[in-house]
Amino acid sequence: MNVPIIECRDVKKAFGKKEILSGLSLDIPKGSVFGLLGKNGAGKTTLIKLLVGLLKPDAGALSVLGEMPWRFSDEAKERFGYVPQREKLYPWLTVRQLIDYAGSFYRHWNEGLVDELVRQWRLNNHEKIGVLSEGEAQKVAIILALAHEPELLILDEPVASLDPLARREFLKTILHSVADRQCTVFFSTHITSDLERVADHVALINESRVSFCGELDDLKERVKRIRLPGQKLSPGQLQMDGVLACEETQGGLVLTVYDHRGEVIQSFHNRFGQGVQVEHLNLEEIFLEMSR
Amino acid sequence: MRSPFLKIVQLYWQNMGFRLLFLALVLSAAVSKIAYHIGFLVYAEEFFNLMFVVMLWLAFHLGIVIKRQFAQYQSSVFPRYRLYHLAGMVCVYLIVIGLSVLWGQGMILDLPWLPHQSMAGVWGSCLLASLIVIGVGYFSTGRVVLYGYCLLLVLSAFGAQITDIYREFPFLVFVPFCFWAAGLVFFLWRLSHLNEESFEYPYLLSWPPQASSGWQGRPAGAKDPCFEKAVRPCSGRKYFECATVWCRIRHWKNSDGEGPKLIWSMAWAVLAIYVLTFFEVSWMSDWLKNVYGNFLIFVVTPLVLVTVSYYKRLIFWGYDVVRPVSRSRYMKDHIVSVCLEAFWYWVLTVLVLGVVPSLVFYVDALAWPQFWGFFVLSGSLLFLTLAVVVSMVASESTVSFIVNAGLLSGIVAVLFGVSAEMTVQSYILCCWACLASGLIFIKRGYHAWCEKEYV
Repeated sequence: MNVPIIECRDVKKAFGKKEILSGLSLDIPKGSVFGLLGKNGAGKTTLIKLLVGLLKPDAGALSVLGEMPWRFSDEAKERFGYVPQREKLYPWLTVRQLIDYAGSFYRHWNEGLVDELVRQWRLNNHEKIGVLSEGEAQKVAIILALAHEPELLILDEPVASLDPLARREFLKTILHSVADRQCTVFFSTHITSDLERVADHVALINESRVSFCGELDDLKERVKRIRLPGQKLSPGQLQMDGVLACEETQGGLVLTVYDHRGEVIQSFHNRFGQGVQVEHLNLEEIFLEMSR
Repeated sequence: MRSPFLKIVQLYWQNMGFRLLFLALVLSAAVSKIAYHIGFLVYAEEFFNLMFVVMLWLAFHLGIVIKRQFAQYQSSVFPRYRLYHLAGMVCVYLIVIGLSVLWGQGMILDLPWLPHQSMAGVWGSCLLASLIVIGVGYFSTGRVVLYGYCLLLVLSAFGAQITDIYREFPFLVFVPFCFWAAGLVFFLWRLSHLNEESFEYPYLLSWPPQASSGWQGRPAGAKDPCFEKAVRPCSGRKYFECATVWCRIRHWKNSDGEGPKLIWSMAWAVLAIYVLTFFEVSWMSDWLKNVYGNFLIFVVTPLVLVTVSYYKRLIFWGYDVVRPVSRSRYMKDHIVSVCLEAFWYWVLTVLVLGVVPSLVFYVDALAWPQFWGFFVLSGSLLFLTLAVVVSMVASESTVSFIVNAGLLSGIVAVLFGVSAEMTVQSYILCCWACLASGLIFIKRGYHAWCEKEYV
């Protein structure tokens, strides 16, 4: 579980003068379900394209499945599956033709799984890709990524176009893959509730860097909301390390804190005594507070 | 606030391809005029011809730019979008193309060896040709590009005869004008009604091809026959089981769409030429008999066919390279495939438009080494041209693209001029030079493609 399957060290990438990733470092443990969160333009898709070898890093070291992605061997490519954010599938092929075409590149191709997913997601084998809806095409792209039962799945917002039913089925399939085959899943998404449901690790990208990378439970444990009822202090008087946000409300002060070692909350307890109320936050709230 | 109309006109000017081609147009026109004034009439005509070619390229590019402005949601959603864009388009078209055609007319009128009568007909024909080329760029489908190519091929072969017709029958000068006006009205009507249901909506040419928004016409695609025809079924053979490059190439072909079928578009044009020759339509049999005059056709036809079928594939390369195939092998497969395909198209073109007519009209010519040297030179030049295209397509830079294309056009033009009068030794020398430099470009292109990023 602790062996990293993906390692990034000080990875930099710019398009022209615009720096997308500036010294990003990240370790993704084998067997984990790893969620990547970040605002639009934070560099999630760029990072994913670097990980699958579509882009070349300007600086830094990248290792995926023990290889440099830009120079992936055929064997390494057999071991991962990828679903792009905007799938580019040949519109003139039928679903079955495309599956057969993609399958012909892999030594291992689970036809049973393909048939099951095609049936489960109500896809028509004889329909042209060009006439499928965005969601249906996304389902096909997901099937293509799962069918060779890869060790590593890299998914760029895979569920954005799926309906709730397909999303649930997809998440279930992912969980099964992890449970049955110790598959590692790395995916970016904006749907934090899905991420909360399946991910055990999470990374937040903020301003071209990783602002948090670790276990999801750990993140939830560290970021808390503190209410100080009846306090009339100005937010400026509470500026200290670990305070992410401070807001004045009618009932008093509301703070969001990033408490690395439990010291911040302790200091509030020491200062304000029993009046301090500590609340847990869900992932969406944490993301919003840490992305400010 | 500046008017939306001016901003639309600015859209054209901001396009680097448009700017460079416009500059080339102005320069060639200016040089032809200067050459005319200082008495170099032959050069004046040469540069005028160049100006006309640049004008056609500009018209093609204009068609692509116009399509990108209309085949998108904004044209249906923004208020008065189409009105302003149509007005902007007409102004740009009339200013750029119309003025260059007027300039051309002025030049031709004053060249002593060209017929002076009824030059308005020539002007109308030029305008009509420009509109046809704009239409080719606008429709942007492989088929229309090929049909347009065939049409211009035939038209260009009869430039002198068309001029003679206007001289003999002056009342016919109105015909091209009428066609042009009707075509323009139809084009404006089409643009004002273009929507996702239109068959041409999904086809957007872009540079680089990967920048294309990809597939964007679900309802239109459902109706287009190109997307209804079955492609070659997957053989069931695995890629890694293929031991040779030939087998691997066949494997990639499993995902081919309409590309290879485009050859049939050309077959119709060839059939028409043969039928007209059979019925002894004098111009056509003259044209077919003049094998040495058709050097460009032997070079350009295979190139057009292979480029059209591969352009479509490029959009999907970004997804195909994640399959378990190393980049170097992937690129080698495709480069070999492109060259091989071009070779077969070349053999076919040479047979149909070179060898067979010679068998019928000048059977003795088949025994001349120069006859075969001529064709081998066209094949070698095709290889060089293809190699430069492979190399420059990888660069993604519009400037480098146009510079390379310009240099290449120069080489082709020079060889075209001398191709029919060379000795066997010079054919051999030129062929070696073309093949050697072609190999250098192919190698350069291969390395560039291997290092290419897919954004």
